[in-house]
Amino acid sequence: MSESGTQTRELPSPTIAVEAQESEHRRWTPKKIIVWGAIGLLGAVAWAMIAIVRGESINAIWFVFAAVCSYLIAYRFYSKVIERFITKPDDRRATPAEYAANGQDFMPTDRRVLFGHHFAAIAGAGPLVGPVLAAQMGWLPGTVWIIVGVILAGAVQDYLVLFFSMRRKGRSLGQMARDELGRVGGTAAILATLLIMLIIVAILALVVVNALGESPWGVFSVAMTIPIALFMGCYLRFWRPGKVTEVSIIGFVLLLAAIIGGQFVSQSPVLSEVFTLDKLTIAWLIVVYGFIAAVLPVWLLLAPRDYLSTFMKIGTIVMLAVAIVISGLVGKAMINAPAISEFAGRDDGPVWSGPLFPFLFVTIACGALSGFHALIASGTTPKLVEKERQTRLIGYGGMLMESFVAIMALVAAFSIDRGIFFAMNSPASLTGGTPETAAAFVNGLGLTGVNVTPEMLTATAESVGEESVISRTGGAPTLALGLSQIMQQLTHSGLTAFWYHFAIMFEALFILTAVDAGTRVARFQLQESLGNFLPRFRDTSWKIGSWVCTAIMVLGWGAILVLGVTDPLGGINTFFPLFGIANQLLAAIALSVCLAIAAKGGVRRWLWIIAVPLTFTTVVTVTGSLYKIFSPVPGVGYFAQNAAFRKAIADGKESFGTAKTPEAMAAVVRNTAVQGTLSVVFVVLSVIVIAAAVVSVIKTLRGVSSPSSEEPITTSETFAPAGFLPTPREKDLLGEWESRAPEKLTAGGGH
Amino acid sequence: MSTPAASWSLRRLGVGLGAGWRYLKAVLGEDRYDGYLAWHRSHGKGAPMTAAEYWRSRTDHQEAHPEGRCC
Repeated sequence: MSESGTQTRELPSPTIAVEAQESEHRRWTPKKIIVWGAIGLLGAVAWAMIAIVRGESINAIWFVFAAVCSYLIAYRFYSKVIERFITKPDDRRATPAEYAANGQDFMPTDRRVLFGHHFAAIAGAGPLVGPVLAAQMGWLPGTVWIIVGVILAGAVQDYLVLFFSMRRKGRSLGQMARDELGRVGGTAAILATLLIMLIIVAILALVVVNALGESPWGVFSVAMTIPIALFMGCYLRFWRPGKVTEVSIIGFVLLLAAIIGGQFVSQSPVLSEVFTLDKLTIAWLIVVYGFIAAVLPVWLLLAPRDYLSTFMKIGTIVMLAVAIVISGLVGKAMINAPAISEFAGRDDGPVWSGPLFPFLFVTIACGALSGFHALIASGTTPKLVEKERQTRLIGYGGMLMESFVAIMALVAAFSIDRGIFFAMNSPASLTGGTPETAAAFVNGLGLTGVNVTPEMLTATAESVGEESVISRTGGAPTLALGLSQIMQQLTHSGLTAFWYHFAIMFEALFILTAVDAGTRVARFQLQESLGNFLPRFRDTSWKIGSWVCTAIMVLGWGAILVLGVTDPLGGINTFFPLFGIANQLLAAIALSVCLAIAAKGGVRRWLWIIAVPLTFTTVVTVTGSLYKIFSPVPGVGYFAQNAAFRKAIADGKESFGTAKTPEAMAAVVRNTAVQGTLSVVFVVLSVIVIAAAVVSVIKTLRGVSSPSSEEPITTSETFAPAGFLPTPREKDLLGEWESRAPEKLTAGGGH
Repeated sequence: MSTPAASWSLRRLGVGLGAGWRYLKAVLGEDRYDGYLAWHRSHGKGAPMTAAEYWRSRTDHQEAHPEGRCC
């Protein structure tokens, strides 16, 4: 900053005057009125089509219109209210990217680029999987929760965490909790974050295992992503440093080759034997992979894989959006399923058990409200934001995009036959695993309009190049099937199997990237915590320490993964609620920290904007946890299940319910004990954090709290517009900067 | 191609594709070295790192500062 001190020349203003911002925002020109009127009208018509008109079948395009119009209105009006009354960004203040710039992680980044970057960091397989599993309840509850939830909860959380972390030099959620909530609340938050991260990684890995089990094609093409990433890493390190787009395209072409090669593998008698692995073997391979990936140098595996994953994420999501819109417009994407399914009023659905409230709201986590985002929105992104006012676009807007991904996944899940959906997503203990038994089971569910034949199930498996599609739980295979049906209509029917495996491959790629990164982040957190007792562990470059901590973390999620894979009750249907509850509890923790910070910042009347989603998610997760802990229905309550199986063992039974052997019965006892204990620990830790936040807010209201830990103000010496497109006044000011101090502006992004 | 309207729309298409390409590169982080050079011009001392050195330092930095990736 030494040069700026000696500079005598006067710089233009770092911000548009507040009054000018207001008048620009509030002036309703005829053009603006027409545009927003049209958006409102289209949105209203779309919602009417979804909620009221719906006949035998409904065109998927209405879901797209309802979602996009709602997002635009929420962004334009509601996020503006949050900006005005809670965050109150001030572009005269320099962001950490400006005052702490270091050419590495603190670097001002063009807002549109950062939007894409942040979106790629928060979105993954989560929003693709949850809506698929929630399809059990019909499409209306899921659609309403995804859209309303993101507007009032998910995007609010992401925006606030991003903003508050930016005001604190990119501090992590755990650090903010410790600063604002004191020792007890802070420690509970850090511990909860660590445990929740483990469970999330474990269950994401379980989704991959379920998608790859007994699938030589899938195993081959996903395994090939590892040598491809290693090649890309060497390419970037030794041959063409920094050419990340070039290497991503090379990697992408190699991935396509791996998918095509997978077909030959699945057809060759010898190779298909080699690559047909049972789920337990795959689980162990992922555990070993997770450890190696976390201790290998970043440049060799993690960084190239991340480039490939980002490239695929943006590419496939754009492709999916285009495909759904086109097939909707030409009337090919029709949904033939009831809006509210027979299972909505029951608690014994085969895909996951428990009543709609609260379990729908935890099954769809990512896409509506995801606590995990708070870990990205604090830490990485806030160090790259150029100007304070841009956080609304990046935080709130980025989450709206993820919600749209969830809506697309929902549409894809409903584009397949309902009978096939239940055959794919019910555990093998119910379907029996053969086409005949599965068809009999699904038809026996008594669902209107469902009549599945064994031939249909066999033909579906054949069309995607798989041995079987029965009990391919976890959501990923269902999404892949839906996507392949949409894509083959637009391309060629012979490509169904290609598109199916393309979808499996990118879901696995996203998840494995999250597994690598999650393990590393968790390892650093553990080292930091252990460092409080054994100072040596603080040194993250200490090899033995890092290996020990990595091993602990991998064993932590690996153990849960193996329990899930070997679970006689089906794995996903008992473990997925735990994933959702963990994710939403993390959201409750993040929102509590935001509530405490906002109160300290002087917000009073408008605290309800945070309190409402916080209360909702607390009620949902605590009720969900209480069901899981105390419900007397064995299918719902972990301890009820545990007691039932222990009694059966004590009575000397050789098999009980879906567990056919004494070993399986012992496994159920063990699994339910672990799941139940985890539920208790999560909910206790989260309640401690929420209580600490409420105490902090009360102290603030009585004027006895410690001050908030915001960084001191530094004056900004740069300018950039706040939204995607600059407003007329922003254009004028930008022009002034370009002519008088162009070196102060962030390059790139294109104008 | 021959009509002005056609060549105008082709040019627009080219501009659009070019912008999309630049955007993709930026989102993947390819222009970070340029960002580093800009930072170095205003804050750095001595000669800036070469591209190869910078990318090495970047992965070394990532080694010590892991970034999460979400579900």
